[in-house]
Amino acid sequence: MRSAAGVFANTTWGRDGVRPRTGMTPKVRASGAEPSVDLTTLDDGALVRAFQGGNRDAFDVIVVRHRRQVYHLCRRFVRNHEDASDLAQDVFVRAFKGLQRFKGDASLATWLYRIGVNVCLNRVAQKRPESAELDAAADVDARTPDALHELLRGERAVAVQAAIEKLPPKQKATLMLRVYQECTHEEIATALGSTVGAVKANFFHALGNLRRMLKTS
Amino acid sequence: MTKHLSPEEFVDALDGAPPASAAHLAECAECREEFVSLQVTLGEAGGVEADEPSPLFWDHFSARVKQATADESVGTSWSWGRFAWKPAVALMAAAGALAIGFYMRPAVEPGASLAGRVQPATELASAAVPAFEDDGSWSLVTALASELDWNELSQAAAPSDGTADAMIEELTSEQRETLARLLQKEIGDL
Repeated sequence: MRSAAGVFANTTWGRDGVRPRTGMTPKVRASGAEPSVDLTTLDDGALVRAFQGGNRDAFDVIVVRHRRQVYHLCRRFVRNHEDASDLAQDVFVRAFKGLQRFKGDASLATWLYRIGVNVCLNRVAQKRPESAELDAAADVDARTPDALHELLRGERAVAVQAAIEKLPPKQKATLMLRVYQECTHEEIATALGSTVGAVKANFFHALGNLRRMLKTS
Repeated sequence: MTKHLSPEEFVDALDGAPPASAAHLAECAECREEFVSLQVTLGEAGGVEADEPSPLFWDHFSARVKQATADESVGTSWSWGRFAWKPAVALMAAAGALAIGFYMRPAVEPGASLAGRVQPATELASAAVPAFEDDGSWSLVTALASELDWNELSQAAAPSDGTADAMIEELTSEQRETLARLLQKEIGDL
């Protein structure tokens, strides 16, 4: 029996995030009274406290640390780079405005996902998603067996993605946070303002609906 | 076997079946079929890879966020602890002034009547203002003072916020010790 974690392993990105490269490491005061420290060495909680103490640079480090996950969450919702980029920026702008009130009850990542899901669901509600990019695999050379396999795989991926887009918002958000962001059920419950039981039920129904749509497609 | 796995149990089983669910799945073909089907669907969903943007995008993105938040103020978390000492110091200074005033008041014999203590105004004036020759400076001061409006004068003379703090700052350590001793005595007497 393969665990869900095993299924997640074939995704190309994970939870590790992107660390700032050497040379762009901000070495500034973490707060007004402390001596100069390398902000990139601080954990999320310390960065939040530094920001709440008035250190703007702490937020830059937070962006660097979480931008990839936030962007990919948005990308799963809107499926084109420009919109995902705009949404991810919106998430961080909202986070900047709200971080003073962040109490640390949940992890910073979960809090950002919560903002992200809200921003994305609002956008999706305002604007119907564009039709699936059916020409995504159009450039593949169909003359070789490998290319044919790639073409079929690409078509299947497009079908799966199109089916995910049709899921009800809560199911869709649950599936994305669980499968692509690798959140625990507890983290998803926090991000969606729900209960673990409801998250599991949503996940179950999301998979059931996805299966049904893929059978008919 | 009539009681099948609940949605929650199926999800738990997908995460790595707990023993109870595993036992049921081993016995119940219907649940096993459902479980395998869900597992395949999960695998398909997980197999959809995300398009990775250009590596150059990330720094560009950070710059965009920085620009978008440039006009926003960071602000700071307000806490009582940061400012709570100010009223306390002001209160202590006020108590100190009262204490000093109390110790410097003129000694009055108990039982002496008010009438006996009050000097006639004319006597007071002649006693308090000794005769002197004005070299012109007194005339200048009185001339300037006469042009001042009472409200302006009271505003200028009234202690502003932080005056007590500033006064305390200017005291020498010896003076502060004396003030603290006096305050302690006054508080102890209350």
